[in-house]
Amino acid sequence: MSKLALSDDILMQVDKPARYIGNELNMIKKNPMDVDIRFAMCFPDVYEIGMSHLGIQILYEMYNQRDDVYCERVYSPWPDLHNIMKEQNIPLFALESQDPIKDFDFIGITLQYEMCYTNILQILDLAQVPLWQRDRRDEDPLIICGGPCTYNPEPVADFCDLFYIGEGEVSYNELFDLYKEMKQSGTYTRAGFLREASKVPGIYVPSMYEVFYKQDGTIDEMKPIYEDVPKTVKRQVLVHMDEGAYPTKPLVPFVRATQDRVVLEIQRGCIRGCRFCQAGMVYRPNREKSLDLLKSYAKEMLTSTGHEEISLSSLSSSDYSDLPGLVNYLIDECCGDGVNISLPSLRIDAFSLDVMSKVQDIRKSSLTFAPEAGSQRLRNVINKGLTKDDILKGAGMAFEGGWQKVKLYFMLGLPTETEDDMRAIPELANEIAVRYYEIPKEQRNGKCQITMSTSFFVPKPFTPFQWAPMYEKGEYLRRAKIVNETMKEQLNHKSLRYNWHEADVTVLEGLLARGDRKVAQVIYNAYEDGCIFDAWSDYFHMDKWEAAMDKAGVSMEFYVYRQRDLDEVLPWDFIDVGVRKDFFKREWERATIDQVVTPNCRMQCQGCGAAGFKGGVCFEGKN
Amino acid sequence: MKVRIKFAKSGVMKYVGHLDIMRYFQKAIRRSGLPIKYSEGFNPHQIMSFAAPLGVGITSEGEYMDIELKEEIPCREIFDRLQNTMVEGMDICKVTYLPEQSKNAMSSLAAAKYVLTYKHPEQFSYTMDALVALKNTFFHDADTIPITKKTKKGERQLDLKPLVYDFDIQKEGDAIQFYLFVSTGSVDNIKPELVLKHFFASIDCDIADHAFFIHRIDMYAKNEEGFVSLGDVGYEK
Repeated sequence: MSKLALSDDILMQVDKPARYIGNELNMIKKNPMDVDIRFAMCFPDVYEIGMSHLGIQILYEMYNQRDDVYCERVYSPWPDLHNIMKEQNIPLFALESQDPIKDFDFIGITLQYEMCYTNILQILDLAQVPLWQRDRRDEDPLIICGGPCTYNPEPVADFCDLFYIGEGEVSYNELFDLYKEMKQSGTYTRAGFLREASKVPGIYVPSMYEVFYKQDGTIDEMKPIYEDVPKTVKRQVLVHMDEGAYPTKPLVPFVRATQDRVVLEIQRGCIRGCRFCQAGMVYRPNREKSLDLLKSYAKEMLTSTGHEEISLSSLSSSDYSDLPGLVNYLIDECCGDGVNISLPSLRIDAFSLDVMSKVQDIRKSSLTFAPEAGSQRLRNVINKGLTKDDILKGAGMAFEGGWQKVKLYFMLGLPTETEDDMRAIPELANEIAVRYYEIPKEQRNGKCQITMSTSFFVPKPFTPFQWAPMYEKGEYLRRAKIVNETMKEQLNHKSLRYNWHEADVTVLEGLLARGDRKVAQVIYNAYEDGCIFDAWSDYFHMDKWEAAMDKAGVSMEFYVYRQRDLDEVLPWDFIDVGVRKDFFKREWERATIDQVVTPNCRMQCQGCGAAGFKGGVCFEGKN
Repeated sequence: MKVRIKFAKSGVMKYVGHLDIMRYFQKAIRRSGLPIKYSEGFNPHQIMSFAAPLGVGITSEGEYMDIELKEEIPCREIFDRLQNTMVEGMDICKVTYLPEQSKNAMSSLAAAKYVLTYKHPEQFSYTMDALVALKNTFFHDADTIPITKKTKKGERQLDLKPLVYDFDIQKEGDAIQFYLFVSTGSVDNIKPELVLKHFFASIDCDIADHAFFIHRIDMYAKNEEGFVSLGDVGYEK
């Protein structure tokens, strides 16, 4: 029997012990003695969430293709096991070998959302690695982080040795080769390696930079401490999508993962340019995978996993050039015999309705629209091209096709939002209901159900809204109340439902998203006070976070509620994502002053800067 | 065509619960490409049923799953195609075809055989002789073994005696092994650790939860001649 890090007594005590045993189908087995680099790839949340993440599976595949690297996985132990490991001093282990990760060369942590930041500390703490980067010695593993939150790494910079900015496919080999060479030649020291690594494209080493602040607390300057360390870190981009590694034999967990299906990544980036959306900016340019490659991946992955469902992954699947070609292939060649296709939120049109009617039970399924804002004026501000006419036309078509349920997603607290915009949310929902009841009674199927959900807008780095202020909790709840009250006044209010997100966690997310290095102390204080799994409402304690902020002398006023000056040095300015700051400024002005939409990348290039990567949509039809 | 698959669950796989094992086999069957039958309707599912769930932490060499195939495939081929796609700790033991009218494993299940060993033998000082003598008093010489069983609805009085078909204690090297042959199924489902809990309670020894390693040896149906292993009901093709 394979060895286990945890005793039978412990495994029988904890919830879902299968989270901790490894041994999943398609797990990579290597003899650790045969490799030069041991890498622990960590998703700092519970197993079922982490196992659903595509990026980790891509990197797992890619690293393990190297004979000299063994990449294993780690997820956050659930609080029940966390407590046992702390009490009994059991070091955190990797699932594959069950060996303690403190003996590994690298611990890689993916940062997918800000509310996992205390879980980074949990991982380091349970691994028995010093939490602060400055306290680590040569024999400790190197902590490297990647993922979307690294577009502002500063709040967690002091906990990490390196950050990988951009897509992992590009620079990891160079980093591994550098490490291996220094280890084998006996020249390795932590400091020496970090200095050399800072010159690898896309690698950011926080300890190689010093930040100077002004009297008012804003940043005066961020400077490399050595002359040979680059001033800016350039985001790495896989220009030709077909060339990247892809996990055609993905891991299949025993415990049901959130994403219990084959996931086919069809493209990266988005042509749309919604002004609130970080992913739409930092993954530019839009790059597609070829249809033939996707077809072969689909077949191979269904065969290698036995999954009963296949799903498409991208920011906006409707924009994939040959979506009908792909979807029709999946329906004709892959579906049937117990395999179905789960469609991501597609733009509602004749094609998507036709496809949906083939693969879903119309009576049970609902249509999803994401207008994000209730009024056309505010939709122009956020550059969401969707019009009321589009929505009513799409919904009308769907209602006539037999659908009765519609879900609508909105944000509250967007820049320039007025009470009219808030009231426009239930008014739009009501108009959709009106459209439903226009269908003669004998042709429709009882009542319709229109569900509105609002989240609160959080400004993110590298978006045109990166300078925008947020509001205090009470103000968000006041806005949600306006929506709720207006809903009750609508003619069809009995067909409308409304739910809104928690406001506490939104404000905190705002702090972590746009914080600087001083915010690290808040995260540390919160963890010391017992905060972990903050993304889980049962485990989120705002009072502890407030105490952590007080203790660290960090205020929401400065980081969250303040309108930032367009000329201010932002904590993330040293990163070059390829889209230029002047583009964001231009877009901020088009949003707040002119209030006009900007054409998408396929309609007309806006010169954002992403063409510098020399690929993707920027060069479509130009070769 | 009904096919019965006997499988074993060992090693780390004992920590994977029954529902997850069911999903595991659904995916394994799809990987194997075997022509399994699906139910009708919008969400068709594989025609597959299991004899009895195996609790988390328990190993077994006698688990059964019945499936229906759309066409006949030789037993050897079914065995190979499934075994080739198993993970470590899951093994196919035997494949047989069932007579068309035969009841499925779940409804024909009547009894199961287990062997239990101490997880922490250092906590038990009873000698083999003492245990055998105690067992005779507790089981063989007793006319009834009245116990109170906790159920979802409360408590109920139960006599273990007619539901425990055999109880034996053996020594394998230093390890003491408790063999239990007990009634299993939808009517009287007796867990082996429940029997041992009452056995030790009869000598004032309180047994904690999960105090034993439990291994299921086999499961049985009952016919006119007595108990027959679920694996011996069908025939090879």
